[in-house]
Amino acid sequence: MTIMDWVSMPFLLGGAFFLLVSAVGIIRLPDFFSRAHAVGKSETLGSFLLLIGLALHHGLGLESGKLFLVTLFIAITNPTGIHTLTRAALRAGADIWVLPVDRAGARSGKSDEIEDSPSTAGGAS
Amino acid sequence: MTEVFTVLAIFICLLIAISFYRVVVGPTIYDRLLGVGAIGTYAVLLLALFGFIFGRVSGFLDLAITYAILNFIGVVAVAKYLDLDTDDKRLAEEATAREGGVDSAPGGTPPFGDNTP
Repeated sequence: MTIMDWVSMPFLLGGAFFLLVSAVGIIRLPDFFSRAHAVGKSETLGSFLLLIGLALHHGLGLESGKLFLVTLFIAITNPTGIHTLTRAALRAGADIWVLPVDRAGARSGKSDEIEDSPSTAGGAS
Repeated sequence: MTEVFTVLAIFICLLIAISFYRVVVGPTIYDRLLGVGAIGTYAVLLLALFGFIFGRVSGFLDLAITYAILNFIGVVAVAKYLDLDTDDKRLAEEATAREGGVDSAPGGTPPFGDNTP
């Protein structure tokens, strides 16, 4: 292995880690908006790191220019697509998840404390 | 270094299988579309890795660029289509509230209606 392989290895492993975080977030987070948060940021950063690692391994040339182009395109379009999707879901009135503790407090009539806490802004009903 | 790329490609195939769970069981249509977009991004990375595994970097990177563009256009188009559906439903609700009289008018306000341009 040359020295550029050792330089690109942390980027590849970091990208794989962030992609794993994104996939776990897709299946484990409770509502649509938090899942969109996982996809929109963590997956963008993971693909960023993975493609930069590939470009570092390959060295300067036409192929690394194309890799830079793919990186730039994903960095622009992936959050934009997720944002459009989230806006459509918000306008359609998708469910927003709140903590079960806050939901129980709202049901038992302690609504003043609930509205003061910032964690349930716009969600408790 | 080809072994590392092969392991990464298998890992990304596993992530595609994990994301496909959300496409199958997602409670709303937006969850399914989110999973489809995530799988599209994983497929772009998989194409780039295939180029490095098989030694044909330039051709596979062209495919990756094309697939990234098509994935973005697909997700935005379906999201805008669903948005159009929301607009139609809201217009229908307002029309029925206008015809239905005073009683149904306060209840007909949509939950997130004030933040739209």
